Amino acid sequence: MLVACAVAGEFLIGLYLANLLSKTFRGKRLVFSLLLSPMFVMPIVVGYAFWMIFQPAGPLDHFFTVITGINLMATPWLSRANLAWIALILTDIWHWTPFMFLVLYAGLMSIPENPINAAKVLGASGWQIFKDIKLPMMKNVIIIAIVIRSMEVMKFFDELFIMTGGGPGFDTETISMFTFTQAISNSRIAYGSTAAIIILLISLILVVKAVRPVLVEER
Amino acid sequence: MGVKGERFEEKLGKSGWISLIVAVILAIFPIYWIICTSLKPQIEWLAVPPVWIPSKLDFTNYLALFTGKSYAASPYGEESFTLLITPVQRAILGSAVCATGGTVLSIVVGLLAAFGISRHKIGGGFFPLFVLSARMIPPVCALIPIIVLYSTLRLADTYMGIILAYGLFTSPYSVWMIRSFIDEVPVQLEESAMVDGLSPLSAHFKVTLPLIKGGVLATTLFVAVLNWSEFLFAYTLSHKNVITIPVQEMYFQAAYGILYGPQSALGIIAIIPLMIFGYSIQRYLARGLTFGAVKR
Repeated sequence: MLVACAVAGEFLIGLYLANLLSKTFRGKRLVFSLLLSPMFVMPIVVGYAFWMIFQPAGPLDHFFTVITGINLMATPWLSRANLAWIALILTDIWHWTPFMFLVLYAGLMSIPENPINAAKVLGASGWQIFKDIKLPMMKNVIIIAIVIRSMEVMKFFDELFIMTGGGPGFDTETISMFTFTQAISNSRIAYGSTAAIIILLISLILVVKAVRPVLVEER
Repeated sequence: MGVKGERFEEKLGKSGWISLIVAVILAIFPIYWIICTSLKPQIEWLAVPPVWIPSKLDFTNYLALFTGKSYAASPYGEESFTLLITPVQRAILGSAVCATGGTVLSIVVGLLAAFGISRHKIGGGFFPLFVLSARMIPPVCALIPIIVLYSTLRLADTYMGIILAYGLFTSPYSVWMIRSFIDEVPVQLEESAMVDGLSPLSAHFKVTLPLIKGGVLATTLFVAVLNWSEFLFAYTLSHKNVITIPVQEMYFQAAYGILYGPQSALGIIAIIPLMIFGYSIQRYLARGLTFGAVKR
């Protein structure tokens, strides 16, 4: 679930931003760099930053309270299962949308101009160009970006470890977290190894089925 | 990228500007929040309502990091109470040693392997993918065997052990990234050098290597960024001798709650090199993160 939501969110935002940035305007380089900055922050620091932000009565709550006028000051973001999921997904989206954006932007920039120019001359609207020319031509890049992000989200660990530690209870436990808790915290190496083997199998299938065709085809 | 002038230049509309500004604010805000927490006196760390702009620039948090003294507010609000935290010099040093060692190892392995794969087709089509799969599995999987192995080899809690683990885990990146750079250099150059009497090895290093210098440098910085921010291995493989910055971040859990200020200050110190490295290899980032599949 985490994988699906986070990757979908990142993809849509990333695509939108990449499309905006493919236009020309002043200060583009600065905006580009600023948008990339989340990616450079250490996962651990991201974990702590969002932990502070999601505190009850933290900045986020305060912001919403001021905006909506409803008192939301005590939203238990990280100690209620559903909210904790949302918080984690938001964190991951914040941290890795720049990746999507960067890769998609690279894809968008590598589209040859001729078809786009031709379509413009023939009077296609911006949306038509985007849907019928840019998207199909970016197909490979999009697949690569989504596959790689999905693999990375499967490994999502550091922020989770800091922000909820798999809690409340075991509600936000992912398979990485489960393996870690079993093998390291509970010292049940064998049990943890079994979980690790299962992850390994899933990942290998994904690598062979999804990543290989994409990467090999590219060369 | 195409020639700029040929593209029908699209202008950015008003709604585009607004969404860009919102996006930039969202992207910057958490970073701003860390910076601002690192400059707040203790009383404002978790104040309700939150303090959006620190009342005055207060560098005690940074000072505390290096002297090892921090103010923990006693429950009665006096500020005389001091608390010792571990000075961070050792963590910074540890991070630097591990990141550098791991990066050098990874690049050396990556460079040689990339030449082998790209020029001599070692291992056929399967080997590169095999290398890559080491990166695709969650690190937690590999962690367990490594722990068992290290305790037998007495590598746990040594710089050597962490450096080896880092080198192991980032070499897929360096292999694939360097390989994508080598693939761009025509083989004919090396062949003609070999006709002139160079051995294959010196042809690789004297002809191709200078041509991909920039790429190798970008790969180095990229791998260094990965190693610098690694947490899982550092956390589990170190106990007393070795400590890195991300692990140190875990240790700010004092008796009176988490020391947000020093924690954020260390976070800022830690991400400064990342930012510098990251921005300087911006051009190559997409390529590195997709294992060389996306080229620009």
